[in-house]
Amino acid sequence: MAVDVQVVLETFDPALFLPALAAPDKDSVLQELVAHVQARGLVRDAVPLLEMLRSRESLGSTGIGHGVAVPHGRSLAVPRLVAGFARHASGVAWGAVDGKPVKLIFLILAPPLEQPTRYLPFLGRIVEAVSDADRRKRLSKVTTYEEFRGALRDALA
Amino acid sequence: MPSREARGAREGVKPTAADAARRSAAARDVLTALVKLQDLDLMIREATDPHQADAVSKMGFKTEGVGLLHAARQALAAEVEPRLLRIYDAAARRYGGRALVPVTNRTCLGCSAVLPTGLIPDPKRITSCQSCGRILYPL
Repeated sequence: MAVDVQVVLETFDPALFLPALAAPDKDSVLQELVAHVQARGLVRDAVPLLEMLRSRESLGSTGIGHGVAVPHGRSLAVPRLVAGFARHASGVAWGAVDGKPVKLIFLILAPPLEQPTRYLPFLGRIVEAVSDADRRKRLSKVTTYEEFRGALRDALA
Repeated sequence: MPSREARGAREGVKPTAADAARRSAAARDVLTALVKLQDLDLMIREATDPHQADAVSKMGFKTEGVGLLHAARQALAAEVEPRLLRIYDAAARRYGGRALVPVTNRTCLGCSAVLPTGLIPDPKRITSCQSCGRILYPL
């Protein structure tokens, strides 16, 4: 099932746009992301969510190379498909496929069951969107949510 | 050894607010552990499903650590009271891995049954849906 560009854009929550992450390591980044998800009121209990993201990293790094990581997974704690974007100016070690530090982070969370099922196609759209160097460069310069939306819209087009 | 509350009940001492708070915290921890367990089981199932594993692998994600997830699952299961773990495992087998289901607006999202008035979904208590038997997780 294809996911419409508009659906992708609307799933990215403005409260989960974090253009200046400075956490020193991968686990601290995950903790910070989850804290924002909870502060946004999207989950009641952040503990299982953080544990799920850590487990996903145990399964294999979500760093897909070129400075991009897409931490993702399903948790019962999440009521609906949720997405956030964070930027780490200096880059953080993520155990990525190419060993490079990660500067662009896309957080994607989904409940165990969704109707309609958008999680995997959504993940695919994001990976596709950051496959091009120019698109990544533009995303790495955004400072506002609106700029991010514009850059992502063009990357998804 | 009987709990402080059980000893208190035998000796005619009323449970205190601190006892109730301890009970609530313990139940909350158990519910959190069960959610972690179900999330982990689902991740293992997806990582070992050829279709899904192939899809995420084509996207560029690594999934070689399934063994680590199995070990984590074993450690987590050891933390859950055996009686609850049996209930969880039985419901997971019966409902394709979904032993816990969300409850919103007094409706079990597993079977769509409306909960009876007396059954108040509460993250501080372990409650099951009276219709399908699955453990309820208030979102």
